[in-house]
Amino acid sequence: MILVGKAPPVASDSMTSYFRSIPICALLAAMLAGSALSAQEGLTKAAFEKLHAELNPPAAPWEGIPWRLSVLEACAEAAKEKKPVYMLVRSGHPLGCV
Amino acid sequence: MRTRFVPVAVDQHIHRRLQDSEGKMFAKVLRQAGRDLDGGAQGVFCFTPDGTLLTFQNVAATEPVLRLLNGALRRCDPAAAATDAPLPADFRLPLPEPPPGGLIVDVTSKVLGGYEGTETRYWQESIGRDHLWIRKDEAAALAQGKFPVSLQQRIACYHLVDNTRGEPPMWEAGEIKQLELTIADGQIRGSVHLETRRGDRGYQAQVLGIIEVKDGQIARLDLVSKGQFWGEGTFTRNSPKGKFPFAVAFRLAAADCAACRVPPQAARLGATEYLR
Repeated sequence: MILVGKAPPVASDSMTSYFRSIPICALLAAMLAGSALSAQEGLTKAAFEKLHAELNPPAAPWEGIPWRLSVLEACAEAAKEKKPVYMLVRSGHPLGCV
Repeated sequence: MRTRFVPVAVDQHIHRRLQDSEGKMFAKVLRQAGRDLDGGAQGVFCFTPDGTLLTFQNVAATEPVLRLLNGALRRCDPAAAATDAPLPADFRLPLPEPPPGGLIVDVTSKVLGGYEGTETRYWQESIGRDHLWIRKDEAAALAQGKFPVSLQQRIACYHLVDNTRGEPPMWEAGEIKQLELTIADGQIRGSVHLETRRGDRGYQAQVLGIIEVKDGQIARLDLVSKGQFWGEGTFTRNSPKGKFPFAVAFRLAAADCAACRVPPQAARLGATEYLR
């Protein structure tokens, strides 16, 4: 009898009898099914669709602001429109990262 | 902000290193606010088109920002604003360029659980954002049903990161313990195990996705990785204790999205290494 994986601990006679009574193919099947289940745990097709939607939230108000990415571009436009410039500075781009 | 200002968003990590006209204007505004190019310039700056500072404060909450904006409007004389501030003839956007003919992918991430108490509510709801750049040749391979190793590694090293609380540490190539992404019948499947040598940070996840091709071009690329993350970085403190569920999602970016021009976090000082 070949056991795959960790050998069971030394056990009482009743437990030893229990293991001996399970056909090896059933034991292997259970081990493989268990590992496949844990490998796919939490990522079924339904979970994929739910998560993909959850991580794609509706645009927040700040995303609708017409951000420029260059200070000079903003200054050029502000001069034409006679407006001040609002510059948001972060470490990591404010429109990316967090 | 939308109608009475011209808003601009800047990553100081990039701008403080610029030596051209863009960098000089950035430095001019900072120094009037008592800030310098040493990395400590986060905040909101309001100034006239010629770079004269009106107001500054390092704030993010609504009320202080509103006070800042109103203060700037009170001080700003539209008639005195410069009437001409042309762009230099050789002006280029001060950001690394995406690969020509390639793809830009939106990347979002979220901690799915594990925070305790109500004080961490902000982090529980936080969505990390970034972009993935795919080279033209990699996009062509994807369209033919092959997942290039270079792209797999780029995704693993630079995008399976917890950026929900700040700038994350990336993974090094030697920290990829296991990585496999395959395409079959329009489905992407795979798994990944990333872990530092000390074992103090890691991510084990399954990956599932959909890819659609039309006329030889990628028309849809939706991907999710979901698994257990542990550990934190210098700028991403206060992660949940132990292992916590963490997911990253990918989708093609909209063609006309201004924010899509923002380079990946890992490419902001140059894209050569990132795209390798």
